[in-house]
Amino acid sequence: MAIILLEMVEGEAEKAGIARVTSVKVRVGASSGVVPDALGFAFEAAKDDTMASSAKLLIDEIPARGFCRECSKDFSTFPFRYTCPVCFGLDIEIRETGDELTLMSIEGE
Amino acid sequence: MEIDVQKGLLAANERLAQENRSLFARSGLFVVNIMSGPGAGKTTLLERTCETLAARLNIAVIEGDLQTSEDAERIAAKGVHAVQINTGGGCHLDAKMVQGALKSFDLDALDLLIIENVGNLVCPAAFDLGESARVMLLSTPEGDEKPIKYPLMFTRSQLLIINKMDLLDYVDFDVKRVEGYAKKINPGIEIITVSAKTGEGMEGWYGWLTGKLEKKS
Repeated sequence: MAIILLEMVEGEAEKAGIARVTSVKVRVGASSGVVPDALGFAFEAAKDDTMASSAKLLIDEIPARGFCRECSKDFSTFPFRYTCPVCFGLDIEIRETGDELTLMSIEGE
Repeated sequence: MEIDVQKGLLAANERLAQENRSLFARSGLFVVNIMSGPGAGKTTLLERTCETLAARLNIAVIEGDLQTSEDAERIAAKGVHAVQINTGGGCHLDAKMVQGALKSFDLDALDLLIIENVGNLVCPAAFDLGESARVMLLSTPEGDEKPIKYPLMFTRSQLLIINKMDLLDYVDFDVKRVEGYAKKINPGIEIITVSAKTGEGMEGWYGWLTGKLEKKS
């Protein structure tokens, strides 16, 4: 995943005429299967000898959220809770799937 | 200078997976992505499947492993065309690797393509290959708590095959517990129990496959 990210970063940097990337912002959803710490660690290891060798990785962690229409309670649906933890209702609206894995922006010169 | 990107990390794989999906649809081909931990019995299951179904169906297999062509050779020995993908160090197959392997087949001449993924309970779940269905294999010696330990794999599969039922007396494995966990995290998942070694329950697997093929045509 870190390598996919770095390849995307380099592609976007080249397109924008950036020679040195200073920061990379990503959104990682709670249910995406990616662990933010692991991504951070892998990114640090993989970024050497790339345009992003001095870049800081900023991870915005997106929780997986549901809303119970029966008691109006907001709650985390991670990992796989789809009934209301307060009233045990089943009429749940998924507000945030938590599947997100997005490169939001890069910064550089 | 800040550049707005807003692109999914898996977008490139998704695009290739959809290309694969269109190719398969054009050829009327049903494609199964079989996943499991290492040693659960995927290849043995496929050997038995080829022995039984190759006479009435045109089957081909794509094998995924880090190294060796052992698995492709086992399938080829059953008279079925098998292509081996070696990932080198990669822990899962992705859509690009599968697309490369498709060149070895005449897709229009096939009824069923089975992709045996790299043995791994984590990464394969995140990479769409363009398949029609995902099948998960869990064997009795692996333990019955696997669905809650590795939920992503179970959430993204349509069928769970519990293999090595012949070893049930020798291991601590509660089938009802696995079924409970699996249905909790994926209410729509279908579950069958088999022993690829003895043949027990395999008719259920063949029935599932032929049922899917009939629905397609």
